[in-house]
Amino acid sequence: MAQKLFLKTSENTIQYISPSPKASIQKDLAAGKDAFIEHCKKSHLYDVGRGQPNPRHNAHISWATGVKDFANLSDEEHKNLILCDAPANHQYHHWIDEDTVDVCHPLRNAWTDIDAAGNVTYDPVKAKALVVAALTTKVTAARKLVESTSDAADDTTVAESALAAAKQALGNAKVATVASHDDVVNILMPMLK
Amino acid sequence: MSNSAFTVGGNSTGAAQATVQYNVTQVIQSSFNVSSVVSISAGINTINFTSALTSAEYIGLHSVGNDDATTCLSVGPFAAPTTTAFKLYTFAWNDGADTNYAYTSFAAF
Repeated sequence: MAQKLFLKTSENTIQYISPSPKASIQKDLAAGKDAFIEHCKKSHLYDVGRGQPNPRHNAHISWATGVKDFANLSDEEHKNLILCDAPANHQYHHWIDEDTVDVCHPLRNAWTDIDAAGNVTYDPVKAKALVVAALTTKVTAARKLVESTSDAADDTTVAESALAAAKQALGNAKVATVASHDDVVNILMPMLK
Repeated sequence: MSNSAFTVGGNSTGAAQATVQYNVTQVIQSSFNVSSVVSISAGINTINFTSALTSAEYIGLHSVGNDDATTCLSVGPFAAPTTTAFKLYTFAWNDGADTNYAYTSFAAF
Protein backbone atom coordinates (compact mmCIF):
# COMPACT_ATOMS: atom_id res chain seq x y z
CA MET A 1 0.00 0.00 0.00
CA ALA A 2 1.26 3.49 -0.85
CA GLN A 3 2.24 5.76 2.00
CA LYS A 4 2.19 9.49 2.65
CA LEU A 5 4.60 11.39 4.86
CA PHE A 6 2.65 13.19 7.61
CA LEU A 7 4.45 15.84 9.62
CA LYS A 8 3.79 18.34 12.34
CA THR A 9 5.03 21.85 11.63
CA SER A 10 6.35 24.48 13.99
CA GLU A 11 3.06 26.35 13.39
CA ASN A 12 1.27 23.49 15.16
CA THR A 13 -0.44 22.22 12.00
CA ILE A 14 -0.31 18.90 10.19
CA GLN A 15 0.87 18.74 6.59
CA TYR A 16 1.21 15.67 4.44
CA ILE A 17 3.44 14.88 1.49
CA SER A 18 2.50 12.62 -1.42
CA PRO A 19 5.61 11.21 -3.08
CA SER A 20 6.05 10.64 -6.77
CA PRO A 21 6.46 6.90 -7.36
CA LYS A 22 10.01 5.61 -7.20
CA ALA A 23 9.94 4.61 -10.87
CA SER A 24 9.11 8.20 -11.94
CA ILE A 25 11.87 9.65 -9.79
CA GLN A 26 14.41 7.20 -11.15
CA LYS A 27 13.55 8.38 -14.68
CA ASP A 28 14.08 11.96 -13.52
CA LEU A 29 17.49 11.02 -12.15
CA ALA A 30 18.62 9.06 -15.18
CA ALA A 31 21.57 11.38 -15.81
CA GLY A 32 23.21 9.92 -12.70
CA LYS A 33 24.57 10.98 -9.34
CA ASP A 34 27.42 13.24 -10.52
CA ALA A 35 25.15 15.17 -12.89
CA PHE A 36 22.52 15.57 -10.17
CA ILE A 37 25.01 16.86 -7.60
CA GLU A 38 26.51 19.24 -10.16
CA HIS A 39 23.02 20.54 -10.98
CA CYS A 40 22.30 21.05 -7.25
CA LYS A 41 25.53 23.03 -6.81
CA LYS A 42 24.69 25.30 -9.77
CA SER A 43 21.14 25.79 -8.47
CA HIS A 44 22.51 26.64 -5.02
CA LEU A 45 24.81 29.29 -6.53
CA TYR A 46 21.93 30.68 -8.61
CA ASP A 47 19.68 31.07 -5.58
CA VAL A 48 22.47 32.55 -3.43
CA GLY A 49 23.27 34.96 -6.27
CA ARG A 50 19.74 36.33 -6.27
CA GLY A 51 19.69 36.64 -2.51
CA GLN A 52 17.39 33.71 -1.84
CA PRO A 53 19.53 30.81 -0.58
CA ASN A 54 17.57 27.56 -0.42
CA PRO A 55 18.62 24.85 2.05
CA ARG A 56 16.93 22.22 -0.11
CA HIS A 57 19.85 22.19 -2.56
CA ASN A 58 22.25 21.16 0.20
CA ALA A 59 19.74 18.61 1.46
CA HIS A 60 19.65 17.09 -2.02
CA ILE A 61 23.44 16.99 -2.22
CA SER A 62 23.63 15.24 1.14
CA TRP A 63 20.97 12.79 0.06
CA ALA A 64 22.66 12.04 -3.29
CA THR A 65 26.02 11.54 -1.65
CA GLY A 66 24.58 8.73 0.42
CA VAL A 67 22.80 6.94 -2.42
CA LYS A 68 24.50 3.72 -3.54
CA ASP A 69 23.00 3.29 -7.00
CA PHE A 70 21.00 6.04 -8.73
CA ALA A 71 19.57 3.52 -11.17
CA ASN A 72 18.21 1.36 -8.37
CA LEU A 73 16.97 3.42 -5.42
CA SER A 74 16.07 1.51 -2.30
CA ASP A 75 12.73 2.21 -0.59
CA GLU A 76 14.62 3.96 2.19
CA GLU A 77 16.54 6.16 -0.25
CA HIS A 78 13.27 7.06 -1.96
CA LYS A 79 11.73 8.02 1.39
CA ASN A 80 14.77 10.05 2.36
CA LEU A 81 14.54 12.04 -0.89
CA ILE A 82 10.92 12.91 -0.09
CA LEU A 83 11.99 13.93 3.41
CA CYS A 84 14.13 16.64 1.74
CA ASP A 85 10.78 18.25 0.75
CA ALA A 86 9.66 18.55 4.39
CA PRO A 87 10.02 21.91 6.15
CA ALA A 88 13.39 22.01 7.89
CA ASN A 89 11.76 23.00 11.17
CA HIS A 90 9.13 20.26 11.26
CA GLN A 91 8.81 18.73 14.69
CA TYR A 92 8.18 15.09 13.82
CA HIS A 93 6.96 12.93 10.98
CA HIS A 94 5.39 9.54 10.28
CA TRP A 95 5.05 7.47 7.13
CA ILE A 96 1.44 6.23 7.17
CA ASP A 97 -0.58 4.18 4.69
CA GLU A 98 -2.52 6.74 2.68
CA ASP A 99 -5.86 4.99 3.15
CA THR A 100 -5.51 5.07 6.94
CA VAL A 101 -6.01 8.83 7.32
CA ASP A 102 -9.09 10.63 5.96
CA VAL A 103 -7.30 13.62 4.43
CA CYS A 104 -10.62 14.94 3.04
CA HIS A 105 -12.06 15.25 6.55
CA PRO A 106 -14.06 18.49 7.05
CA LEU A 107 -11.90 19.44 10.03
CA ARG A 108 -8.60 18.73 8.27
CA ASN A 109 -7.39 22.31 8.76
CA ALA A 110 -7.89 22.02 12.52
CA TRP A 111 -5.58 19.03 12.97
CA THR A 112 -2.83 19.62 15.48
CA ASP A 113 -1.31 16.18 16.11
CA ILE A 114 -1.09 12.81 14.47
CA ASP A 115 0.37 9.56 15.75
CA ALA A 116 2.10 6.80 13.83
CA ALA A 117 -1.19 4.91 13.45
CA GLY A 118 -2.87 7.90 11.76
CA ASN A 119 -4.99 9.01 14.72
CA VAL A 120 -5.46 12.77 14.67
CA THR A 121 -6.36 15.31 17.34
CA TYR A 122 -7.89 18.74 16.77
CA ASP A 123 -7.60 22.28 17.98
CA PRO A 124 -11.18 22.67 19.33
CA VAL A 125 -11.23 26.44 18.77
CA LYS A 126 -10.16 26.08 15.15
CA ALA A 127 -12.58 23.19 14.66
CA LYS A 128 -15.49 25.20 16.00
CA ALA A 129 -14.59 28.13 13.74
CA LEU A 130 -14.53 25.82 10.72
CA VAL A 131 -17.94 24.37 11.55
CA VAL A 132 -19.46 27.83 12.07
CA ALA A 133 -17.98 29.02 8.76
CA ALA A 134 -19.33 25.98 6.90
CA LEU A 135 -22.78 26.39 8.43
CA THR A 136 -22.79 30.10 7.63
CA THR A 137 -22.22 29.15 3.99
CA LYS A 138 -25.13 26.71 4.24
CA VAL A 139 -27.42 29.42 5.64
CA THR A 140 -26.44 31.78 2.83
CA ALA A 141 -27.13 29.10 0.22
CA ALA A 142 -30.48 28.23 1.79
CA ARG A 143 -31.47 31.90 1.90
CA LYS A 144 -30.69 32.29 -1.80
CA LEU A 145 -32.76 29.21 -2.48
CA VAL A 146 -35.75 30.76 -0.70
CA GLU A 147 -35.37 33.97 -2.69
CA SER A 148 -35.21 32.09 -5.98
CA THR A 149 -38.21 29.80 -5.44
CA SER A 150 -41.01 32.31 -4.78
CA ASP A 151 -43.19 31.15 -7.68
CA ALA A 152 -43.46 27.48 -6.71
CA ALA A 153 -45.22 26.85 -3.40
CA ASP A 154 -43.84 23.35 -2.82
CA ASP A 155 -40.28 24.39 -3.64
CA THR A 156 -40.57 27.42 -1.39
CA THR A 157 -41.68 25.26 1.52
CA VAL A 158 -38.70 22.93 1.03
CA ALA A 159 -36.29 25.84 0.72
CA GLU A 160 -37.68 27.55 3.84
CA SER A 161 -37.32 24.30 5.78
CA ALA A 162 -33.70 24.03 4.63
CA LEU A 163 -33.05 27.62 5.70
CA ALA A 164 -34.63 27.06 9.12
CA ALA A 165 -32.59 23.88 9.67
CA ALA A 166 -29.37 25.57 8.61
CA LYS A 167 -30.04 28.57 10.88
CA GLN A 168 -30.76 26.32 13.83
CA ALA A 169 -27.59 24.29 13.27
CA LEU A 170 -25.58 27.50 13.02
CA GLY A 171 -27.08 28.80 16.25
CA ASN A 172 -26.33 25.51 18.01
CA ALA A 173 -22.76 25.54 16.74
CA LYS A 174 -22.20 29.08 17.98
CA VAL A 175 -23.28 28.25 21.53
CA ALA A 176 -21.72 24.78 21.67
CA THR A 177 -19.03 24.42 24.32
CA VAL A 178 -16.03 22.73 22.78
CA ALA A 179 -13.14 21.66 24.95
CA SER A 180 -11.90 18.38 23.61
CA HIS A 181 -11.48 16.15 20.60
CA ASP A 182 -14.53 14.14 21.68
CA ASP A 183 -16.61 17.32 21.86
CA VAL A 184 -15.65 18.17 18.30
CA VAL A 185 -16.76 14.80 17.03
CA ASN A 186 -19.87 14.43 19.18
CA ILE A 187 -21.22 18.00 19.12
CA LEU A 188 -20.01 19.76 16.00
CA MET A 189 -19.59 17.16 13.29
CA PRO A 190 -23.32 16.15 13.18
CA MET A 191 -24.20 19.79 12.53
CA LEU A 192 -22.38 19.68 9.21
CA LYS A 193 -24.57 16.88 7.88
CA MET B 1 4.95 12.47 -25.93
CA SER B 2 6.53 10.38 -23.21
CA ASN B 3 8.11 11.99 -20.17
CA SER B 4 11.51 10.70 -21.19
CA ALA B 5 11.41 13.04 -24.18
CA PHE B 6 11.68 16.08 -21.89
CA THR B 7 14.95 17.57 -20.76
CA VAL B 8 15.29 19.61 -17.57
CA GLY B 9 16.84 23.00 -18.09
CA GLY B 10 15.70 23.85 -21.56
CA ASN B 11 12.99 26.48 -21.39
CA SER B 12 14.55 28.21 -24.39
CA THR B 13 13.61 25.10 -26.39
CA GLY B 14 9.99 25.17 -25.28
CA ALA B 15 10.31 21.88 -23.43
CA ALA B 16 8.57 21.48 -20.08
CA GLN B 17 10.91 21.47 -17.11
CA ALA B 18 8.37 19.75 -14.86
CA THR B 19 4.87 18.33 -15.15
CA VAL B 20 2.45 16.69 -12.75
CA GLN B 21 -1.15 15.61 -12.42
CA TYR B 22 -2.53 14.72 -8.97
CA ASN B 23 -5.93 13.97 -7.49
CA VAL B 24 -8.07 15.28 -4.64
CA THR B 25 -5.86 13.66 -1.99
CA GLN B 26 -2.65 14.67 -3.81
CA VAL B 27 -1.91 11.17 -5.07
CA ILE B 28 0.34 11.75 -8.08
CA GLN B 29 -1.06 10.16 -11.23
CA SER B 30 1.81 11.09 -13.54
CA SER B 31 4.82 13.32 -13.20
CA PHE B 32 8.08 14.47 -14.67
CA ASN B 33 10.75 16.08 -12.48
CA VAL B 34 8.34 16.32 -9.56
CA SER B 35 9.36 14.57 -6.35
CA SER B 36 6.25 15.23 -4.30
CA VAL B 37 3.14 17.31 -3.62
CA VAL B 38 2.75 18.76 -0.13
CA SER B 39 -0.73 19.47 1.21
CA ILE B 40 -0.40 22.50 3.48
CA SER B 41 -4.13 22.93 4.02
CA ALA B 42 -7.28 22.43 1.97
CA GLY B 43 -6.72 23.97 -1.47
CA ILE B 44 -3.10 24.97 -0.86
CA ASN B 45 -0.48 22.58 -2.18
CA THR B 46 3.22 22.85 -2.90
CA ILE B 47 4.65 21.06 -5.93
CA ASN B 48 8.28 20.14 -5.28
CA PHE B 49 10.72 19.59 -8.14
CA THR B 50 13.19 16.73 -8.09
CA SER B 51 15.87 18.77 -9.90
CA ALA B 52 15.82 22.54 -9.48
CA LEU B 53 14.56 24.52 -12.46
CA THR B 54 16.95 26.78 -14.35
CA SER B 55 15.51 30.01 -12.97
CA ALA B 56 12.62 31.18 -10.82
CA GLU B 57 11.08 33.06 -13.75
CA TYR B 58 9.52 30.01 -15.39
CA ILE B 59 6.03 29.90 -16.86
CA GLY B 60 3.71 27.93 -14.59
CA LEU B 61 0.52 26.63 -16.24
CA HIS B 62 -2.18 24.94 -14.20
CA SER B 63 -5.73 23.68 -14.41
CA VAL B 64 -8.17 22.01 -12.04
CA GLY B 65 -11.41 20.12 -12.47
CA ASN B 66 -13.90 17.66 -11.09
CA ASP B 67 -15.89 15.14 -13.03
CA ASP B 68 -18.67 17.74 -13.33
CA ALA B 69 -16.30 20.71 -13.75
CA THR B 70 -18.76 23.20 -12.29
CA THR B 71 -17.20 25.18 -9.48
CA CYS B 72 -13.43 24.99 -9.55
CA LEU B 73 -10.78 27.63 -9.97
CA SER B 74 -6.99 27.66 -9.65
CA VAL B 75 -5.31 30.97 -8.98
CA GLY B 76 -1.75 29.99 -8.10
CA PRO B 77 0.92 30.80 -7.34
CA PHE B 78 0.10 31.33 -3.69
CA ALA B 79 3.66 32.54 -3.08
CA ALA B 80 6.57 33.64 -5.24
CA PRO B 81 7.72 30.71 -7.39
CA THR B 82 11.14 29.31 -6.58
CA THR B 83 13.52 27.05 -8.48
CA THR B 84 12.57 24.14 -6.25
CA ALA B 85 8.82 24.50 -5.70
CA PHE B 86 5.55 26.07 -6.86
CA LYS B 87 2.72 26.72 -4.41
CA LEU B 88 -0.70 26.34 -6.04
CA TYR B 89 -3.98 27.68 -4.63
CA THR B 90 -7.34 26.25 -5.73
CA PHE B 91 -10.83 27.14 -4.55
CA ALA B 92 -14.51 26.90 -5.48
CA TRP B 93 -15.77 30.04 -7.16
CA ASN B 94 -19.37 29.62 -5.96
CA ASP B 95 -18.67 29.81 -2.23
CA GLY B 96 -14.96 30.68 -2.06
CA ALA B 97 -14.09 27.53 -0.09
CA ASP B 98 -10.47 26.40 -0.37
CA THR B 99 -10.81 23.07 -2.13
CA ASN B 100 -8.80 20.24 -3.67
CA TYR B 101 -10.03 18.71 -6.91
CA ALA B 102 -10.01 15.35 -8.63
CA TYR B 103 -7.76 16.53 -11.44
CA THR B 104 -5.08 19.13 -10.87
CA SER B 105 -2.44 19.57 -13.57
CA PHE B 106 0.67 21.75 -13.60
CA ALA B 107 3.50 22.32 -16.05
CA ALA B 108 6.55 24.58 -15.77
CA PHE B 109 8.23 25.94 -18.90
